Amino acid sequence: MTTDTYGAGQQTSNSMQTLYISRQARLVLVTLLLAAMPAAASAREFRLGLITPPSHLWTQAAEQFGAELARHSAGSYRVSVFPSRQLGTEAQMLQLLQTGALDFAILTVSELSNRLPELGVFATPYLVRDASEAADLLSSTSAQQLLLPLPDRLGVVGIGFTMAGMRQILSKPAVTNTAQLRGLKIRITPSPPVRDFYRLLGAAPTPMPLSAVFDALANGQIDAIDMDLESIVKLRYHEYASTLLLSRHMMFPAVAVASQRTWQQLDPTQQALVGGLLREQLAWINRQYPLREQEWQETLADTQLQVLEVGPDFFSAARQAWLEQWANSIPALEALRQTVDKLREDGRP
Amino acid sequence: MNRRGTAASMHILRLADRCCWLQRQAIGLLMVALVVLIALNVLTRALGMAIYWVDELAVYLAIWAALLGAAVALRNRQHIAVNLLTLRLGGRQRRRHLMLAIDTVVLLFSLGLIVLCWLWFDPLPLIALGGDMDVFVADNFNFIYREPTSTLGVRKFWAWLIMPIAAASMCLYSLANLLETLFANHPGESS
Repeated sequence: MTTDTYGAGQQTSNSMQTLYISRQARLVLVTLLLAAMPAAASAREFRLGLITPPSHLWTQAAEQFGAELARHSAGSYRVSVFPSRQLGTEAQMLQLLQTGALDFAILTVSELSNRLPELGVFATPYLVRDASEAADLLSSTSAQQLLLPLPDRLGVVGIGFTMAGMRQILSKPAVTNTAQLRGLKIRITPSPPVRDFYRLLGAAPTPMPLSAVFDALANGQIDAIDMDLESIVKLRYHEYASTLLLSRHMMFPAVAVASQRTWQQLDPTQQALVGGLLREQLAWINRQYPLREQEWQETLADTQLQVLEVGPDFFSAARQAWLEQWANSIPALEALRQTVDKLREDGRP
Repeated sequence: MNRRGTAASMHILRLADRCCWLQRQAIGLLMVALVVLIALNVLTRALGMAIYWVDELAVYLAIWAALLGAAVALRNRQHIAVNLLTLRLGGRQRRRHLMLAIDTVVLLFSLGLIVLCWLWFDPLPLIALGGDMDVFVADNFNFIYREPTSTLGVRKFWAWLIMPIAAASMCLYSLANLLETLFANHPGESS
């Protein structure tokens, strides 16, 4: 095959052009570009990177953060928001944060847990019941403690948690029980605990970035996707599927992080101002999801999609096997579970 | 060029040819493995028992084959070329000078790739630390050795090792090409 081609050709052409851009080269390029951008003479400009499109709640919150910060600092701080992976993948943004070329970003726990395995605890199936319980858990002290190792381990400061609602399963073939999930190719976010959940269900988990999902689902490269309601509705994935398992099987947190280099340049008052305003926006996102998920659910109910509401019992065997495999390697699980129990007790009338 | 220089160049050319042969065999094997994996994927999918790690492995094999192929193609001068200038330049001597310039540029580019790979893999501090990954990461914020593959259960840097391999091969091959241009058709040395 290929070897034949190589053997057959003789040396005829005289000059050649090869273009390779390695990851490192790309990082250097982006860093140079960012450094070359004209900064306002008086105002300090922060750069905030996101993987989400402009219509997404995270991007809206980032814009609001910029407006609030400019107002509260009387114009001495400004925020430039770079949505839609303009500055690269989450891994690349993390590198930019470490060098100080990027000041802020909202990174999913899925990406961070590849470097800080403790954060894999949030992939515990049915750790929380719904988005509002997820929001409460994320604002608890036991969750906040998971952010403490970030500066030493990753060179970024964890400002606070936010989230993208709950995970659901959207499938092209009709699914009414877990046996029908066996052998299906299901798109997941790249994260070992999520992968193992689907592996234990007998499915073929296929890690894929969000940007590749639409084509893969539309052309049948994958059979089903692990996704949140917001993306299903806004990116119209439901038009290429027959069944929505309204499972809420995992929460999907994200962390707003600041570059440690940027953070150290701010004095405590400034840190309190910037951090406080950003946390306000994170809390705004967290309040939005419980309300909006209801709306998105109603939108989907009006389509021809079969919506099947399922709970923890639906996945009981896989859940059990997952816990046996992961419970020991994520020490934070016990503390988070106690917090959830306490939240439920307090919530009871 | 003196005799010792000629002998050294012969060694380099021979080494390049051996490497080229080896890499062509490797590409063949990679392509066979790739076809087998894709066939396996199609088959298991059709039978409703898809295997989850095949996709990622196939992607890495294709990347290895492509980068090795790029290096081999460099030696064989099979890369896409813009030959506007060479076609216009008359005279054997002038064309030879242009070729020397081109080969030098490609060699410099390959050396640049090696430098980038060196910075990327940053081996010296890691060796100095005796492989202590925690300290290495804390000191250098370099996570290359920590990045896991999504489904294969090994670290990604094993797959990324093709970059220094390809960069080193390209360096060797562009040096061989340069020497070849230098010797071939050299006036006064042809007989």
